[in-house]
Parts: sequence; C-alpha cells; structure tokens
Amino acid sequence: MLAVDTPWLLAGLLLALLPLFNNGMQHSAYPWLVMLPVDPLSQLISVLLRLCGMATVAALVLGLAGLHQTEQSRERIGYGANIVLLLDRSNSMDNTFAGKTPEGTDESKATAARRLLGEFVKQRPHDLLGITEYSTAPLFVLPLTENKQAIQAAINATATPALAYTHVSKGLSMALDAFADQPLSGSRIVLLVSDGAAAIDPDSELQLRQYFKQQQIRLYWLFLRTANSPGLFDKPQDARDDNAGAMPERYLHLFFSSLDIPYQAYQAESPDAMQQAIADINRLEHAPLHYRERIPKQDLSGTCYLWATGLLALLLMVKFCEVRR
Amino acid sequence: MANRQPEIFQYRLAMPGNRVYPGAHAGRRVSSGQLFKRHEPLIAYPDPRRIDLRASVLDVFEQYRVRVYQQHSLVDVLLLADMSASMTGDKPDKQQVFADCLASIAESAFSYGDSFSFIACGATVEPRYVLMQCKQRGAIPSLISRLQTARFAPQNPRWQNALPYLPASPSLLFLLSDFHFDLNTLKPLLHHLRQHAVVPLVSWQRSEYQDLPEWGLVSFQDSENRSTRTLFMRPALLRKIGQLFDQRRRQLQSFFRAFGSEPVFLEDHYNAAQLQHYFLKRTA
Repeated sequence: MLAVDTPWLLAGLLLALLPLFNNGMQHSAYPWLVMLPVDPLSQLISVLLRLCGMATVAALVLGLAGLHQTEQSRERIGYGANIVLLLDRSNSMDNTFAGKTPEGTDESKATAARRLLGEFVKQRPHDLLGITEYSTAPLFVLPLTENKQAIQAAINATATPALAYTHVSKGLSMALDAFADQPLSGSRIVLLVSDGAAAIDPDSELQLRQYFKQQQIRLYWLFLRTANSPGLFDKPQDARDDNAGAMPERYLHLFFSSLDIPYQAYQAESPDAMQQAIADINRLEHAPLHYRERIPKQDLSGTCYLWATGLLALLLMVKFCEVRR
Repeated sequence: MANRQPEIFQYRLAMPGNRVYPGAHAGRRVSSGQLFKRHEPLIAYPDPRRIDLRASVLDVFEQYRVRVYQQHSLVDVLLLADMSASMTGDKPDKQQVFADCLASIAESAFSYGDSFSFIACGATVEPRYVLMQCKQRGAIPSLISRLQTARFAPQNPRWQNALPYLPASPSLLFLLSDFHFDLNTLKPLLHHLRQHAVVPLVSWQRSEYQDLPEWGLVSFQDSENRSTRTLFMRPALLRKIGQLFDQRRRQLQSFFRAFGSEPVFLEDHYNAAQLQHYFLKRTA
C-alpha cells in the first residue's frame, strides 16, 4: 500500500500536465510545418521529452508529499517451528559443568548455552522464536518473532550475571503464555534449558497440565547436569529420598512424562553433549510452518527525489542539445 | 530600408498593351509614334500633317491616305502581396525582401511612367495597405513604413478578397508570396488573372531549408497556425528537407506553367537583376 504524509500536496500533481502544453523549448518560427518531413525518431524524442518532464514534476511532488509504503505483512511458508526458549537464569548456570566458578578457558553452562543456542538460531532461518527466562520470578524477554537480530541480542543479553534461584513452574507458565494468542501453525516447541529443577506445587501443576494440553506443546528439556548432582533418570538409593523436595529433577521429569505430550529430555553433562542434544532437536523439528512476515514502512520520498534528479539531469542534457536559432 | 535608391529593371510584356494613354510599351493602338504601321484614310485619321502624297496618288479610290504609327501605351503594374504572418514573421530578412521588392517594382514602373498599384492580401484586404494607380514616388516610402508596423495576421491569405481591387484591363501583375499554403486556394485567383501577365515571386529564406543546423533539437512553430513540431536535426533529415523543398519548387513551377506564367524564386534577397534577366528571357 502506498500512502503519503501530506495528501493536499498531491494537488501539485496537476502541474505534471504542464509539459503537455509546453515542452520548454524555444520555438523558432517556421512558415509552414507541412514542408517539414514527419520524422518518427523526432516524434519519439518529443514524446519522451514530454513524458520525462511529466515524470520529473510528478516525482518532485510525490517526494514533497512524502510518499511511503505502509507496513505490510506477507504470508510465507517455511520449514521450522514456533520455539520458545525457556532459559534458566539461576546462579548455578554461571558455574561450569564441573560445578565450579569458570576460570581461564573454562566455559560456564550459561556461556555454553548462549553459544550453542546462538548457532541453533542461526541454522533455523524460518523459525519464530521467543525467549523467556526464569529465576525466582519469570522474566519475559521477547515474544515470538522472526527478527533474528533481536533474538540474537536477547540470547547475548544472558551474558549478564545470573540471578537467584530456580522457580520453574512460573517460567513454564509464562513460556506457554507466549503461544496464547498465536495462530496454530507449525509445531509449537518449548525448549527448556536448565541445570536444575524445583518442586512444582499442586496448584501450578494442575494449571500447567491444562496449558500444555490446550496449546499442543512439544517440550524439550535440555538438562545441563552438573557433575555429581542427581540426574533425571537416577533412582534414589533410599526410598525415603524419593520425593519432589529431595530430587526435583527426577520429579519434574516424571511430571513432564505424565503430561501425555511429545516430550523429550536430554541430559547433557558437557558442552559437547549439549551440542549433540541441540543438533538432535534441530533435526527433528522441521515441519512446514505457515507464518506472516512483517515488512516495515518504507519511505519512498528519497527514491522520488533520486528519480527527479536523474530525470532533471537528463532534461538538462537535452537542453544543451537544443539549437537556438 | 527605404532610404536606399531602389534598383530598377526593365520589363516588357510579351503581349502588346491596349491602353488609350500613351506610354512606353509597344501597344496595339495606332496614333503618333516612331514605328510606321499602315495607311489610313484621312477621314478616319484627320491629321493633315501625316498625309502621304505618294500613297494618295497611288490610291485607286483617289482618297487621301494618312500614315499612322504604332502608339506606345501605358501598362498598369500591380503588386499583389501575401500578407500572412509567414511573410514576415519576426525575421528582418523577409521584411527586407518585401520592402525591396515593393520599392523596386514601383520605381521601375515610375521609370516607364506607368502607374503602380499595390494590394496586400491577408485574411482581409485592408484599405490602409492598398495603393491604386499611383504615379507619385512619394507615396511608396510612406507605404513601406506603414507596412513595417503592420501586423501580419497569422492566417493564410484569402485571395478572394483581393478580386474587387484587380484592374479590368490587362496589366503586369506581380504576385509576391512564399506560397506556403495549399495551392488549391490559389487556383480561383489565377483563373481571374488570365488576362494579366502574372509574375509569381516566390520569396523563400535559405534558413528554412538549407541553413538549418546539422545536429541538435529544434522546435519549429508554424507562423500561421502556431502548432509546433520538434525535430531532431541530423544530416539525413537535412537532406530530406532539401529534397522536399526541391520537390515543392518543381511543383510550383508546373502549377504556374499550367496558368501560363513562370515563377521567380527570390532566395534570401531581392535582386532586380534577377527580374531583369527574367523579362529578357520571357519576351526575347
């Protein structure tokens, strides 16, 4: 859609008719035009000159009126998914996989996650990505968007020092909320990246079950396991320890498994394993995706002035070719 | 313009004149003169000074015979000029040709003692620019100065309007125009001019067909109807224009020959010697 900033200036377009009446050349009197041959080349040049003049005036007026293209959305089909990255911002993410503060060339879990997710985003050009983080409270970072620059920036922003604890249920709710008013197109994925878990209270559990069902979510849990910490699939040696308080990871995994949704958990104990897991997800999620691409408003007045300048230069050149008698 | 002494030329008519008034041109009238024509009875030409005794004695009817001579008679000279805009436009050259031509023809007529008439025919014939049977030299400069300030209408001449001003007796008639109009409009006039000796003077400017620029864009505007045409001049087009004018020249010649006259092409300048040459060729 083309539009202008100051519509009343469009009245100036009437001026574009002027070249029809006067081609701007100095006339030399001639007794009888019938004596001059009808020359197709000259006629063509004459018509082109008038058209050039009209186009110049029109371009100038449109430039003055501020011609622009309004914001548009384009329907596109790509291969990808709607992905919400749910990142853990708890303190422990700033430690290495060995559970220590990173020193020298050591890479913290957050850094590794940042690096690998950055690559992951780069490989998936058609995905709609959103980012949600959680710590003690959930952090809303970015809604589902196709703007890769914004996504990269949001991922890079996790380089700031991590926050306090892990409150996964709130984070999950917020991640699911991101899909709330999105059309159902392509697969919907929540990629939970965390290095720990927390118990989910029964109220939240009920709500989450409902949400997961409603939104038709596929859940991937990339669990960055710190050395010597309980894994997802470990069974406690002591039956007394078998509760959500003592082994939150195991119980969260059990909760996810019980949701009756496509769910996959990856337990990564090193950056390499993590990369493996992400490549796995990358491979799995390639369903056709129907989405609308937004094209922002484009100012065309610059183009108008450029054309006017070019045409004026052309007309000036022709003026120099004119013979004055 | 008019200060210069106009060049003159001698003209003769191929056909002898029939005017009563004595003048400088061979005529059909007999009276006093230099060239003996025939004998007439004294009763027909009662001039006892010219009684030819020998012829009277030899006359079988025993009547007095009188010698009669060819009388030279007057010729009316008339300049019928096209007064459309294309004849002057805003170019001083064309006006110069116009004025020179007028002054020269008038002066030549006066040098013979003939009368000179001038009719300017535009969309109408304006009495201001009409001179009838004039024999006074002084009238010519004032007419020329009047013509120089005249507004030449941007319209082809309506020759029909000039008909009432034309003389009834055979005259020498110069028709000055650029003939840049449809020749069919001229046909009715030429039919009316059959009894006159018509000399079409075609006033053309070389700047209109030869001295055009070889390269470049030129916008031409018609002097009569104000329409314009832009031409991208190049040597090929220039040649084509030259050819068109040559063609037009031949067309004019054949057109006027059909009416028994031969056009004179005045290119850029009026030259009395050209007319002199023309009359020598025509009446030799």
